[in-house]
Amino acid sequence: MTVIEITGAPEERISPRQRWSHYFVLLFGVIGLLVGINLRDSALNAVSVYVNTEAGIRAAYPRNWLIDFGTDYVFRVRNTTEIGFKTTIQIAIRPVGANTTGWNVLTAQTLNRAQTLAAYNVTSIEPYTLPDETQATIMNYSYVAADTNPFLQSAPTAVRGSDILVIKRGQAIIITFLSNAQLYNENVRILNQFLRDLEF
Amino acid sequence: MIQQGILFVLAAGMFAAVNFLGIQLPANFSQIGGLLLVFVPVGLWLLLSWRPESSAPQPRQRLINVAIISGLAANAIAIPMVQDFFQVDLWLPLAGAINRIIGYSFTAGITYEIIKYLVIRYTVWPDDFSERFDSVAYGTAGAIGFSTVLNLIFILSDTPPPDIAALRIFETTTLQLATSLIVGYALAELRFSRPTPLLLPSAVAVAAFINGVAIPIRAGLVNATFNLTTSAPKSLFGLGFAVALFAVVVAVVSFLLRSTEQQAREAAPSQEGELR
Repeated sequence: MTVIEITGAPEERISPRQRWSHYFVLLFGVIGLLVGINLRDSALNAVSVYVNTEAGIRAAYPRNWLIDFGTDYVFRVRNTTEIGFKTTIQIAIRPVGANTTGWNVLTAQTLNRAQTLAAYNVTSIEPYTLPDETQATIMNYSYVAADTNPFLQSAPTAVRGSDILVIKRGQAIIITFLSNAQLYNENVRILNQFLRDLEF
Repeated sequence: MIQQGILFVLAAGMFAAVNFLGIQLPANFSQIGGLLLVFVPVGLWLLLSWRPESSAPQPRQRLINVAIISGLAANAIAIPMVQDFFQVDLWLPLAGAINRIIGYSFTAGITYEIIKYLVIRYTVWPDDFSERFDSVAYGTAGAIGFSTVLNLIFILSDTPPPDIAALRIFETTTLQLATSLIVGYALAELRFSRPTPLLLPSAVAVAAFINGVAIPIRAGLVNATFNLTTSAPKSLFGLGFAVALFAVVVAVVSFLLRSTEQQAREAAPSQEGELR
């Protein structure tokens, strides 16, 4: 005798109540993940605003970064939570003459840094367009940063930097971005976000 | 319970041997020892849960399938999603306590629980659920596979000393087991009773929330406090927290499963009587 067992597909044995229950779980999962994405975006892209009316600068820098002010620069923000070299964004302003070009300013920067930074090396100087269509010049460079305290026994870090130079209203605005060379491509999104929000 | 009991004794014993008896394991042994420890929960589960099934009248045939698929899903979906997509390490450790709980619930919690649920839903539910306690067996299988991959990633990326690895393996396995039991209970109810359609999503939400609470609380308990004198990690607090969490979840789920099972048994003769 041959026995033929006819079974329906599993889905057919599920009652509407059970089916709706599974739909609700999937709906809950999708909503939950969307909330998670929103939380992540609001945390990673959260910014604090810095306004300097004297220099005519309004910038939004990542929240939780440490801001400080110096004589060589208008302001500088650093990610102090990072282990090793702290990713840094800095804005400096230099007065320039009518005949001064971007090349002059960047050359002066290079000469100055070559005396103070180890293994300083310019990799490229090329035209750059800011998000608001302002024409600028970007200088990419690298150097080796070592901890100033030798007792900390830390290894030197290869740093990759970019200077974005804009000459406007008789002054050179230099936006400097410094990052651990290994994390540069990962961190450069922070610079891009910073430039999108920057007004000067 | 027996499996977690043995794992607890092993984790606590290793911690006591290193920290109280001063037994030092060779540094080269760290990673190999860690890798061996990762497979202890799997070994115990195979020995105490899977092997006895072969002598059962109606063995649960897809336990291994659930464990393997859960492990693969953890490696292929859950871990990349939490670490690379949500990037929780970049923003959650710096957030406040409440934000951390909410953040971990809606990222790691939801991801882990939905994946574990989907594996059981599309491999064994409802066909292989012939009684309520099947949910415990399949939930455990899923949790073991899932937590093994989480532990493996932890050992391979951090290379902790064996005593710390043993504690972490116990805590991760316990947390995943506890949350799987909650979702398993809801799946059993959905299979054998007529609960509200919101029971299962609520169970997944509770399980995700427990993940969200347990991850930061465990880290807060274990990590050394910041002060001007020396401070050390308080690993035993994490162990105690994991044991307490597991005991509460097992007690609640066990009570609910037994009471619904009893209600069903009591209802069955009366229904038969009504039919006669």
